Amino acid sequence: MMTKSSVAVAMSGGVDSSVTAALLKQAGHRVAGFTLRLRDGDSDGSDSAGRVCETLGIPHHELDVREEFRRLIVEPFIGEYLAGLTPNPCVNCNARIKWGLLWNYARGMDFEWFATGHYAKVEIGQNNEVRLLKGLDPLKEQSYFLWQIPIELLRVTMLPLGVRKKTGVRAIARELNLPVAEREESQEICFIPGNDYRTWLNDLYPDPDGKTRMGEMVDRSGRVLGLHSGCHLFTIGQRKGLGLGGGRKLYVTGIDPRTRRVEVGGEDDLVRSELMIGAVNCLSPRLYNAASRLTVRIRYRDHGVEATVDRMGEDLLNVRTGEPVKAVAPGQSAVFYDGDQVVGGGVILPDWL
Amino acid sequence: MRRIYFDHSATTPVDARVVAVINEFLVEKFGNPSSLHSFGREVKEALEDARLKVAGLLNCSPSELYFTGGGTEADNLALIGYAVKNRDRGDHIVIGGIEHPAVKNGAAELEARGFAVTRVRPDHYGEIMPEAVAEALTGKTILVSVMHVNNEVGTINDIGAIGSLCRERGVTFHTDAVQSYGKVHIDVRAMNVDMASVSSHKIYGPKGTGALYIRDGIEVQARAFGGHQEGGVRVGTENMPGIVGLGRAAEICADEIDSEAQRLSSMRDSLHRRITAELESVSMNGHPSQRLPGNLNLTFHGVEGEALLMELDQEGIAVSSGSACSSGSTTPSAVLTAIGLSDSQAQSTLRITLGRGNTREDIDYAADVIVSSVKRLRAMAGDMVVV
Repeated sequence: MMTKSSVAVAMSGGVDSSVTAALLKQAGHRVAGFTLRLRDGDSDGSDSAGRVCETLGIPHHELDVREEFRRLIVEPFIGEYLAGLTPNPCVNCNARIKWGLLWNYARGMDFEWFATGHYAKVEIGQNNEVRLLKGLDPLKEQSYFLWQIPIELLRVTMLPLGVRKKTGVRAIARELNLPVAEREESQEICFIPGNDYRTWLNDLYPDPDGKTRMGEMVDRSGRVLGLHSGCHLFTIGQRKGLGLGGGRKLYVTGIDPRTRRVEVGGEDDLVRSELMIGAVNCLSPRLYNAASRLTVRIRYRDHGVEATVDRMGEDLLNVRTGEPVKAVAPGQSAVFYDGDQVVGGGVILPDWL
Repeated sequence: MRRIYFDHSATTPVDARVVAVINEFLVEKFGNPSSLHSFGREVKEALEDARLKVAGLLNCSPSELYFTGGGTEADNLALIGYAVKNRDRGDHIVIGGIEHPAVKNGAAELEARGFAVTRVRPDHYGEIMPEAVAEALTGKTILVSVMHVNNEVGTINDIGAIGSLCRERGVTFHTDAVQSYGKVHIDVRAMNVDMASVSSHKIYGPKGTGALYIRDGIEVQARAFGGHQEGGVRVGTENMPGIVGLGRAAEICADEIDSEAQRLSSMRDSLHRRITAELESVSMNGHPSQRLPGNLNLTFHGVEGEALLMELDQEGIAVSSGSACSSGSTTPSAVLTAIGLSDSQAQSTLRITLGRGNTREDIDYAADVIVSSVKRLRAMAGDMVVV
């Protein structure tokens, strides 16, 4: 049986979420747009989303979450970097801000469904099982960023762009004369200008005496090769900006915030085939089923490798990969797939934990 | 899993009867048709026999038929070979606005070499109207090239009318008959066609073989230089397994053309009726009646064509979005947008092309799968919420 329903659409003011709202409106749902105010001085997105809602003739609500965004996303992001991790703020923002604060607010207004412009699919199977699947467009596919959404919230989620391609979405925006059709792709991390987190972090939280964050650069045997001005400046696998001069190619192979030591080594030292994953969110029992043939992606632009998963605790996994993986960065998300289905995900834990 | 091939405009499986003759010429009759000994003579005889069969289905003389390495080569030879050879007579070419890339890009190459090219816009059925072709002709026009059947929407052009107006105006007329040959009647004499390209792999023959009919008296410049084969127009030792395969494939088509056209049209219409009866917002592109028997080109509004294609593929059904020759590109089909579809409609379109191996059971199964897949995708897209 088909019915029309009420849908709250998270609108950033960009092309994707605008077309999402337009498609759901066209399909006859009662649709309203919700835009988050995340930071001071950030009103472009909201203005743009407001114009789109006006064009579509749907209500537009703005939600001021500046305080919560700072507390739940930006500060943990900084903390993780200072702790030598490589954070994934978009994953957290989806779970805590969009499917958290925004959806709670909309649900309070009696909306039955929540929609975003992510390129991933949510399907409810005949056995009433909810499945999160990769999006159709291989260039835009975003299921990686959604692993942290609780399964019961995916059940009330609509992702209309999961079965579409970006080119088609732009075409729809043009044909509907949405005032966002030619807007550019948004940048990687929305709160960091130019995607240069190092400058941003140093400006925001300068080292009080220039020495507090300083540490040693060491080789695999512990020999000191030089000094650095903060663990947060490094990511596992990083090659540039090590300040170690020429010679053989060196990469960051380890970061220990307790001793503030950054370890470097050759390309071979970056490779590993066993990982510990914490903060696991299970989206299908197949995550723990020994018969499943799983693959794991350890970063967004990653095709994935075969993985064997052992459950070590409530939300702790030991993962062995079928082939060695390179530059595993603690703090990043490890997302598990069975074919196209996301069966769960977690955060890659550092060795020192 | 059941597998159904519904992409016969992309290519066809080789008919078992054709395979038999190809094998014979791969293994036993391997001679070079130019050799004087018996090994060569028996093959030369088969070469001329194949020519007779392929020519028969066009109603041209065998001496007017030249084997090529496929449809694209035949189209290029016709356009570029003719224009270059006859440049002293004029420098203007007219082509249809939704030609296959073999003609479209062949004409672009001529443009780069200083020829002027006019592209005639199709009507909303994808037909190139003879009056529009007439309007495009100038005193400097030496060649008109309009496809017989469009490879995406399946519309059949009135080649006879375009042929006679070109004949009256003294302009040479080429048609790309790759999609129609063996499926729709074509008579180059009656239709006043001066050159026509055909391909083997669209008619259950092997890939890499085609032919160009060049009316007696029309001169083209060879595109390659070497021996004396094919009257010097297309030189190099003949691809005998391919050529005898094409010959046999043409012979089978000649026998079955009317019954097969009727069978495919009827199955196509059943599929169309079932889909439109059970799904809302589906429209057909191309001409409602004047179309290739097995071609069904449908826009499933609100559904991404490629998503549907992949759903069907998982159920074993092979269809295409646009034509195989233009898939992989990120822009929507130029044919569909030229006949008035919006970009998003073009991206919601699939081409289903039936052929010899398909049965009534295939149609029933495919209709079930298409209907349920479209409903599912529409539900996932938030179009209708399943509760």
